[in-house]
Amino acid sequence: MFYKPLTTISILIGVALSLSFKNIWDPALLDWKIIDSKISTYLIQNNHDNYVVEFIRSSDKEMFYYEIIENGIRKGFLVTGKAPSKYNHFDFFVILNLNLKIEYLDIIKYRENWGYEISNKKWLRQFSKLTDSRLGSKNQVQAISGATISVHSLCSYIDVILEDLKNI
Amino acid sequence: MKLYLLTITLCVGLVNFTNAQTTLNGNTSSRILTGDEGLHIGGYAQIDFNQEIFNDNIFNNSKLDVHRLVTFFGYNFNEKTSFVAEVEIEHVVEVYVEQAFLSHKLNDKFNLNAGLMLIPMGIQNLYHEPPTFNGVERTNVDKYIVPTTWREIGVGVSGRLKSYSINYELMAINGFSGYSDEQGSFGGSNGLRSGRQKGAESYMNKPDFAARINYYGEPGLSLGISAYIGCSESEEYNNLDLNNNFDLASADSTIVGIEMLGIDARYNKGPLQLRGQYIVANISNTEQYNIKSNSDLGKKLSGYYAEVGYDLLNKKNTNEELIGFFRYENYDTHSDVDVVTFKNDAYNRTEMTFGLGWKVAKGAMLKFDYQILSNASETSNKSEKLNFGTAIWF
Repeated sequence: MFYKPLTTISILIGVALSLSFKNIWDPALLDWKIIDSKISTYLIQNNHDNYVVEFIRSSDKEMFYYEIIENGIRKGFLVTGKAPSKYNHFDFFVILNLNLKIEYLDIIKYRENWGYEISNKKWLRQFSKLTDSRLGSKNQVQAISGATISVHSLCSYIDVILEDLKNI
Repeated sequence: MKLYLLTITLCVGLVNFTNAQTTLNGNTSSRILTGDEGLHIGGYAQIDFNQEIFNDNIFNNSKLDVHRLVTFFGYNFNEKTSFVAEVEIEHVVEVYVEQAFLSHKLNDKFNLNAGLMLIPMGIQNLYHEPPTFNGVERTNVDKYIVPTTWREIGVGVSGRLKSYSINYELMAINGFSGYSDEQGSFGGSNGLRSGRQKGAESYMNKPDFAARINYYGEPGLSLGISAYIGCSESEEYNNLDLNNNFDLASADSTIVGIEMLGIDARYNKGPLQLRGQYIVANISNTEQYNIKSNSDLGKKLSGYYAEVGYDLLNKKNTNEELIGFFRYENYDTHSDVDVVTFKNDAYNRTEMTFGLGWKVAKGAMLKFDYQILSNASETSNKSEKLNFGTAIWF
């Protein structure tokens, strides 16, 4: 009576594990034109138009930290990364000023049909208004029914970024 | 700007090197579980305790059940192409495939999907992982009107129109099996539910169509409109001689036309959770169908619910949630009937459910609720039900 489900599951796990693994994410895949445009907008609004972006380091969570430099002076930070959604992952980037206040947050690529609501610009704007750096704690960020995992994932990653940047 | 681009190029090169180094570390299982590679594994489960309350000196045993255990396997072949499969074990001994489809992304606005797919109708047919809804059991509107989990084989397109904050899904799939082995599958109590083919050696006379549009432009708000149109399938059309008018008429009396429409809304604001749904299905040709199959399928099925929830641990410094909720639900599989069918008011059912859900971790929940069940029949007595449940999703 019980062998059928167990056999089916065993076969599926076997087939799944026998598939080869391939890394599918790479920062080169990001649309850097969008990021460039957002940095330009942010800096120009602050009367800056001549800048470079230099790589600082990467993290275990596959986030990549850069500093935004204008005339040899650090003006802010850019962090790109990928975070898990329900069954896939999404790419995002965030621009922060030297006080670690979020100036701009965007979802560059959202791959699956669940949780896509986090790419809503209006929803993302709330991150720029937050004062509590611990976003992972509930009620700091508005929940979205149907996108719980992606909301939690993004908040957790932003928390990690804020902690990491304190040490840079 | 040139300097900027050069720096970026160097950065990406360095990042690639760093990335290559990091992905060489870690064992296979950790890589699978962290989702860093092409293969993804997940799942959800619901384990229930149900007790009908002792009433009119009639005693009922309680029921304890591993209601469902679902394992997910997904494989990303590359950035654009992925395969999604969910295998479900219900009540420990029944095995089903809940989803199995290939998805290929042409661009953000346009994905091509093919295989066994969930019909995009209402909230819970798409979002039915137990921690995503309040109450131990799924809502009955999503059982008797929308036959969750409703999935069939077909092809479709889906995508997002970002500038309008709209997500859409459109598909052509096989319809319900309405008549097979000289028996009708549809009925007054369960509506269309017993006609689901679930991808198991399904058959089709002609395709049905389903579509859904979801608007997510306001933070915390999600509004959906779903539609389904088509005819049920019938084995009577197999090997049918189209020149034989008698056989053709006989076969025509074994199918019904189905038009289903749903609207739903979900809204979250801080600790407050609101959600509601209305579904209506108009069924045509029921008179002939009911005579042919000696059935009592209604010609209109409808149902709705409204629910309010509140996180009682809102003020506490914890990531846990304790959600108190109340839901009012009404569903009627005999909203309207044809002239040969007796309208059974017992199929007009109302449920009031209140309870608590303790979210001990993201994706893990302990549930309790109490239900007061009634129907519109003059001879009906109210019954009550106590439910406890374990709900997980990972």
